[in-house]
Amino acid sequence: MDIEQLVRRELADGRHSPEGWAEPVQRVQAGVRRRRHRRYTIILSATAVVIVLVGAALLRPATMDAPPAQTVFEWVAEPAALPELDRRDPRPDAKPCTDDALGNEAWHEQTGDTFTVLIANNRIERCTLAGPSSIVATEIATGARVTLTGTLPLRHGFDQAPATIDPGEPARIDVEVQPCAAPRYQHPRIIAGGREVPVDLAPGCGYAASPWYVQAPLINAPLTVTMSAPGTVRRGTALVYDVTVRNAFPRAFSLQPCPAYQQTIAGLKTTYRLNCAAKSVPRHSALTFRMRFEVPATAPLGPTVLTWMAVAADGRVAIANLSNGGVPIEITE
Amino acid sequence: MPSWEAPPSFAEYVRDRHRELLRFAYLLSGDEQLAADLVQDALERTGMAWKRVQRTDEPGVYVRRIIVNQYLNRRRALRRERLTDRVPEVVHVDPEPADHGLWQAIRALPRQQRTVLVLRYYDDLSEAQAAAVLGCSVGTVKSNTSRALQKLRDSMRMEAAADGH
Repeated sequence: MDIEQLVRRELADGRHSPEGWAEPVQRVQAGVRRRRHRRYTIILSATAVVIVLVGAALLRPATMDAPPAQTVFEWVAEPAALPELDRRDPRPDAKPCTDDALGNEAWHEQTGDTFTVLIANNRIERCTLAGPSSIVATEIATGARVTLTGTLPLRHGFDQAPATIDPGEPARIDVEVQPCAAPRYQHPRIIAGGREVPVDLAPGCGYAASPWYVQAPLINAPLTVTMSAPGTVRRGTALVYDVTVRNAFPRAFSLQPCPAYQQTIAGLKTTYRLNCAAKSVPRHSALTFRMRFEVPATAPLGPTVLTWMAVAADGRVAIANLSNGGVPIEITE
Repeated sequence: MPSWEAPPSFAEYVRDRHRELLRFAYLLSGDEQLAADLVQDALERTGMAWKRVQRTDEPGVYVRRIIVNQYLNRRRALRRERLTDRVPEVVHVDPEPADHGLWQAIRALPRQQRTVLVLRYYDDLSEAQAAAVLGCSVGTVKSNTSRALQKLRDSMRMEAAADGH
């Protein structure tokens, strides 16, 4: 007898017949009822959960996004110090900037005795401008072209060197003159983009330049701030205006801890704590804060610009009228 | 929720076939308690879908397929074992005769191979029918059958050799 026949015989052996059930139908019926009960419970629970979630979603805008009862938050005279401003982290070094990547146009800013040259990256790739620039000047006695050495430290903690610049972003370099009674050099120039860029500084006994650097931009809070102010203000009176803080995002913006803000007009600045009777700016909503600026009787007459910037505790900023930097105002007698 | 009553045709099917199904499940599992659980589970599922089963399928094939699938996946199913307030029936299990070597060898086979043997040599299914119940290819049925038979041959040979000594 082969193995297949043996297996058939073994499996057909009557010893492998378990006892039947006494009441098989009732037994199975009870099991089916239990299963059906469990299935109904699951369906009912899932339906209840869906109803609760849908209800909560429908009710949420009515409860959480309702504008606060107080629509304008009054000005409070609580002087404050601005937190340290949060700025973009230094970037990793990129490929060195080639001469043709640096634009033909250079422009400048002057702060006191420091002359700052700015030159932009005209390419579509980020590049790095490292180290100081050579300074070229004309020796007054001989008229000869001479190359000078002299280094300046970076002026601000937020200046970042080397200058790794995005397309369109400028790199900066500061140049200062070493004044003396009998100047030896004049017509200083720095070398940028393979050419000499004139630096408008007086003759002196030498010139010094900083390394190329970038000023890291501020980190903005996800808020849009607009100002509504009268077109004129009399000096010696209070300028009263409104600032509206809008949160276009689907999450509330917390005002805890309460931010400070700085307002400037005609070179004068004051810093106060915001009226944080509102604990947050609700999502898809706006809050209006009343502002007050005491314009001194000595303020210069004429057109000027009102600026406003709030700084959250984490250093992020919300700058009013970001597109044009402020609201034009005329100070009158 | 209305109380569920077994349709007459289903009640008749359960009465007539449950012993046969218990035996089938016992041959697969080699354990009476487990066989009872497998059959109970399969018949409950069949009862829930009785109208559809009657219309579209052969109930015997449907129930066997459930038993086989539940058996092959029983570790997963055992994790979901539920507690009830009913005391289980006390079952007396006769110990297997120690001299019955072939049955012991069949019980020692891997589950997949033992299932193929039961389908082929107890249920007399063709290789194609067994493949349909198992949800695998005919080739897999053939190879499992072949390996199972070879193991049984080896086992019998070793037993005979041991008896000779």
